[in-house]
Amino acid sequence: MNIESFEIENWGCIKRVAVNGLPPTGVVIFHGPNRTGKSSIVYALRACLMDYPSTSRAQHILRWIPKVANGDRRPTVTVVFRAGGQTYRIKKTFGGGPSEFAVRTADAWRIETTSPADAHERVRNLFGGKDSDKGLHQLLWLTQGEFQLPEPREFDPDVQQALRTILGDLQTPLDSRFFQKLKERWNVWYTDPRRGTTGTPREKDNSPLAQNSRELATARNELAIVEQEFQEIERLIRQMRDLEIQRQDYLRQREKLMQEVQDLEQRWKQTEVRIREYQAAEQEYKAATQELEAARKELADRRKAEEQAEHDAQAVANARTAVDQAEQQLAAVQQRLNQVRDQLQETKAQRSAIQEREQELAQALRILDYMEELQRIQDTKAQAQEIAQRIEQLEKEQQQCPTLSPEALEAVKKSYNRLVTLRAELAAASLKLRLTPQPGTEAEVTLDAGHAQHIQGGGEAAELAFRRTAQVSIPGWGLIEVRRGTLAGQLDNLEQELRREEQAFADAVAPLRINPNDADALDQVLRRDAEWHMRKKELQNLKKELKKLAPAGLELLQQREIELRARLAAKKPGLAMDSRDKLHEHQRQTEKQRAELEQFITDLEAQNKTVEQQLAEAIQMVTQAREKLAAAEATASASRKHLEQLNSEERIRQRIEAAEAALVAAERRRTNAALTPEEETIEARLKSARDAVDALNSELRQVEAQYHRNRGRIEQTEGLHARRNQLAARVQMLQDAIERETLERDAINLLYRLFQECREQRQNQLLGSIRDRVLSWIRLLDIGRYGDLRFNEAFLPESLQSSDGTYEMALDYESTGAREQIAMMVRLAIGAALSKPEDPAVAVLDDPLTHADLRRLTNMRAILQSAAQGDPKLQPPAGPLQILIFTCHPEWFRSDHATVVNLEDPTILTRWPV
Amino acid sequence: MIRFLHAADLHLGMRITRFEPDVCNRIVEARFAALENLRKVAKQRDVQFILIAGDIFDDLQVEKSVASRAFAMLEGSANSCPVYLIPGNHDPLVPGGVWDRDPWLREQPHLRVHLLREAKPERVPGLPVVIFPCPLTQRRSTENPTAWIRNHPRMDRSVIRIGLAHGSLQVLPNLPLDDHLIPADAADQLDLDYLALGHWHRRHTYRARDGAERTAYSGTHEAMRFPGDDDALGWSSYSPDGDADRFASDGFGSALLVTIDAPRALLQIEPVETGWLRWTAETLDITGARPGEIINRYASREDTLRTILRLRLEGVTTPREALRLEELRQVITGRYHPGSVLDDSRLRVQPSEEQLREVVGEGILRRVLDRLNGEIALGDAGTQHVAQHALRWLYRLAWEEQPL
Repeated sequence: MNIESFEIENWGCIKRVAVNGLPPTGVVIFHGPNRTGKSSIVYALRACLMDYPSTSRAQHILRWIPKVANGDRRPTVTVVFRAGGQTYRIKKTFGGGPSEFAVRTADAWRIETTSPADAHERVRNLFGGKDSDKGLHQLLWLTQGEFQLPEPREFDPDVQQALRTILGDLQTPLDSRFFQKLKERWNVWYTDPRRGTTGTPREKDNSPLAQNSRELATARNELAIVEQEFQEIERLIRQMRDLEIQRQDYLRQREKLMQEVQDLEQRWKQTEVRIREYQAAEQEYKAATQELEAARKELADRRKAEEQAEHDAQAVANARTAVDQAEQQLAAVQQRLNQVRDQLQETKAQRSAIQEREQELAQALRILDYMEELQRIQDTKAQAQEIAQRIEQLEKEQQQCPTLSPEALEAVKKSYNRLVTLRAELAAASLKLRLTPQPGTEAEVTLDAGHAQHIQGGGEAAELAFRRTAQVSIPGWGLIEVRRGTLAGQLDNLEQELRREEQAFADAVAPLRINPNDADALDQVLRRDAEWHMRKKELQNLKKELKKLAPAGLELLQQREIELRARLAAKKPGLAMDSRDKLHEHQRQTEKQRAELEQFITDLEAQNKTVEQQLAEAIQMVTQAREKLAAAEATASASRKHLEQLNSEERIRQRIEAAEAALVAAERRRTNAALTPEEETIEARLKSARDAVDALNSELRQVEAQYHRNRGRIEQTEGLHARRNQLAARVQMLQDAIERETLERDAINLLYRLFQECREQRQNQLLGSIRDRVLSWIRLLDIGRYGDLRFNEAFLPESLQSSDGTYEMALDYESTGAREQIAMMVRLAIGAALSKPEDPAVAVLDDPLTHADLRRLTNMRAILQSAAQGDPKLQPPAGPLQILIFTCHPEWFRSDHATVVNLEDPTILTRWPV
Repeated sequence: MIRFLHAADLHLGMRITRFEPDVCNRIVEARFAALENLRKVAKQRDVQFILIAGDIFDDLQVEKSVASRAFAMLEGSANSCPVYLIPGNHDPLVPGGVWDRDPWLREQPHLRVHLLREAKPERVPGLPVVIFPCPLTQRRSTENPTAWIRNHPRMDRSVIRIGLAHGSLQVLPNLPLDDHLIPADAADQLDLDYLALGHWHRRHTYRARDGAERTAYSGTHEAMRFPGDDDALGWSSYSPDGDADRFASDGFGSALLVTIDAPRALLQIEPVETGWLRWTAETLDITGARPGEIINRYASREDTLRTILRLRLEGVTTPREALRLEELRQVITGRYHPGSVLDDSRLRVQPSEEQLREVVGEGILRRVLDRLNGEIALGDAGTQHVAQHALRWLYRLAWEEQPL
């Protein structure tokens, strides 16, 4: 079914619209600006063809009845359409008016019914038997702003059934129910892949499997801690046995050692007297030995003291000799120093004489300089005085012959020019009176009430100029008076202005003392100005020259002259003057002499310094030698005193003899009291045995302490076995549960995956042509790099898959514009699948593709054209479509193949005046 | 003549992990019920004393409630005779261990309980009986725990000499050297009329040179696992070789009733059942079998509430019958003692062609089924296992979604 023509009257704002001759297939563009009534036309077509009988009192219809000044007019819609190879006409007058349904015969319209209900039902059935938002219209009749595809559950089941009839079942109801159940179970562990991720499902964090896994990790950790504690206790248990064995061993060892200590103590008591006696003899022997050693040492000390005293006396003699030598060396150095100092003093005196001669030579040279400078100053002064006099003269002339400022001069020039102009204009405005009196006659002429002039005849003709009146008195004839008629006022103005200008010019040149009435008054002014400027330039040059000669003025030159004369007058009396060259020669000679003396003085001062240093060293050597002598004398005195305090050698020898005798006696006693080896070691052995007992006791205490610590630790582990069991059971249970659930999860996921794959295969089988058509259009519009479009069981697109198959995205995640375009293409492709070449379906698009950019709109024109043409080669074949586009942007859709209806054309559409 | 009960390896507070916590608790509790049975048998058979040859507790770190409860049961008036017991390798006499705590730490003599802490002869009051106890102080030891008895030869020929020990009798090859080994002819060497042993979990008796069965393991008083089971249930011995065959179970608990007429005389050993639960492991090939018959068979068994059953199904069945096996699972889990289980992991579900059409129809499910069968036929073992499971789910969900 498609529309051939329609006529709508009194529909809302539309007074009348009539469109005829619409092609059965192809794109038709109805365009007009906003508020033309495009959507109203669509609504009228929907109402007439599908939605309402003419008798309907629905508000949706009544609101379209226009309210006009001369009474209500009922909306009337007439549509001629084709369906099933026949052409029909339906006319409905809404608001309770009549209907008429007719079929076209070979030569006329045959009215089938005028019953509103019957007419409505028949037309509706021919148009699919559904409201305009149901059936195929749900896909192909788009209202303004509608761009989303319907939800699967809202998609008309009859259309789905029709698609099944053509395409076959995508999946059986059992498949659907099964998959629903399977999905519920699958969702226990997984969620659908997110946007931007690969197609693999995402495992849920809160699934029982995930929770069990987390719990297992926790339980394993806890069990590991308990197991560690258990192993530690096991170690302690093993250690307890070792500790017990060790303790028993220590006890046995201690018992044995205690017995040994007892034996040693008993034997020690038995040998104690002999030990004491031996110890006393040993002590006596030690004392005798020490006394002998002390006596021998005293003798050695005495001999050493004697040697020391002798040595110290020799040292005093040596020190004294050293002092004498130092003092002799000091005297020699002192003498040398005096010689050097005398020579130095003499040389410096020579240098002073030379310096005086140098000063005299310098003064003579300066006198020569003063004389030359005095001559130069006198010349300059004379030249400067001459220039100063000339300057004074010029300045005087400038004052006497002033000129005007440049502005005033310019004003004078303008004033003079205006004066000349005014005089010329007045002259031009004058009237000429030509008198040619005959010889012998005369006339008296009075011009402008001025003085009368007498004109004698017989001469040349007299031409007189006047401005206002001229009176000619001709004797014998009378008076002739000539008066200017018009333009007298202008003459007045000119004359007034001339007077003002003459006064202004006179005032301007008055300071220059120039007569303004002179004919060359302006030339005089200009000449005066030129002369004034010449003098000014000369003045400037002279002043510069004077400044150059005497920068600080003539007074300073004068002062300098006086100063120089004074200096020359103060010349040293007797100063030998000579030529400048000779003076310079003397100066060079004295400088050379002075340099030689300076060098000699430097050498002498160095010698003086060296000798002074030698003197200081000699003084220091004398001081040191004297100090050493004093020290040697003090040491020798102390040695002597020490030697005097020691015992005499004889007395010491007596002490040695006595000590040797005592030592022999002590050794004899010690030999008599000597101990056996066993007696000697018994004390040490006893001590060693007691130490060993103490050490064993310490070890034993440590072992027992460890034993008790272990026992305490083991006591504290009461219940450890149960805790260990419970945790192990928990771990085991969780492992079992995870194993079971993992198997179930994997099995369900396998089923889920296989179901998806099988369904996809089936979908490819059934929806391949539609999908391929839409995909080719998607590529033409350059919407993403999609390789596949997946449909759900309701034949509606669900998701897009990337060309490499790794990326799947729900359609909802695409941009608004892309979704609108994909939905439009899917609608057209599915609609085409249900359209037949012999009975093309109509698609009505009200203001479509508002979210598309211009580039895509360009390609969209080709797609619309392709959809309208259909493609019989596809399987199932894509039927042609009649696509009616209502838009305010005809340029978006206009193409060579499209039919264009301009709704602004008043022959097509008229509106009620608003 | 004397008569006594020989029991061992009570393993009170036993470790078991392969069941739900509630089931584990029940199984642990059953060991006390079996101890109660032991007391009843002692009273019924009028024994003069009871010998427990070690491992009264599963560990020396058992909870106080377990230790106290055991003491109360053996010391209490419900017990009709003295009980002589020794620590075993699971509960060795270690300072700080269970025997070193209340109530077992209380000073003896008790009324009935005689914890024999030392290796020294113990005269049974009023009877011509001397017990030679061999308490263990270590989990493992290379020492012969009965060696000390050699120092106490028979002096009084009127006295019946009974050894009480815990260890491995050297009658098996390759026993660990530190498993408290006891010479096979210890009874002869030590001149014992009877050597009551613990440690092994099944009943064994061994003849002495005179032909009399003078050495015996009583086995556990309550079973600890399924008989012939390879899968441990979480319990493991402290012996070096762990879960060796000598610790396997008969599936029921027992003790030995021993009657000795006189020293060196022949003696009678009578096994008596003391166990509370019976553990049964069965394997059934159901290929071609009718599920209804199997269900009836297991539903009609007696004493199911005290039976822990593990039924392992093998063979091939159809999906529909596999679904019916859920009824069998309900019977086993509902009527038998908790912990009973139907293991169908080795059962292969193979649908018939008619069932295929009937259940999955001709839509996508049919294709899914074909793909699954392909995975089962060609996949590796892991894939096959998952695919088999998936196949069951396919049938289950498809079956549930069949139109009414």
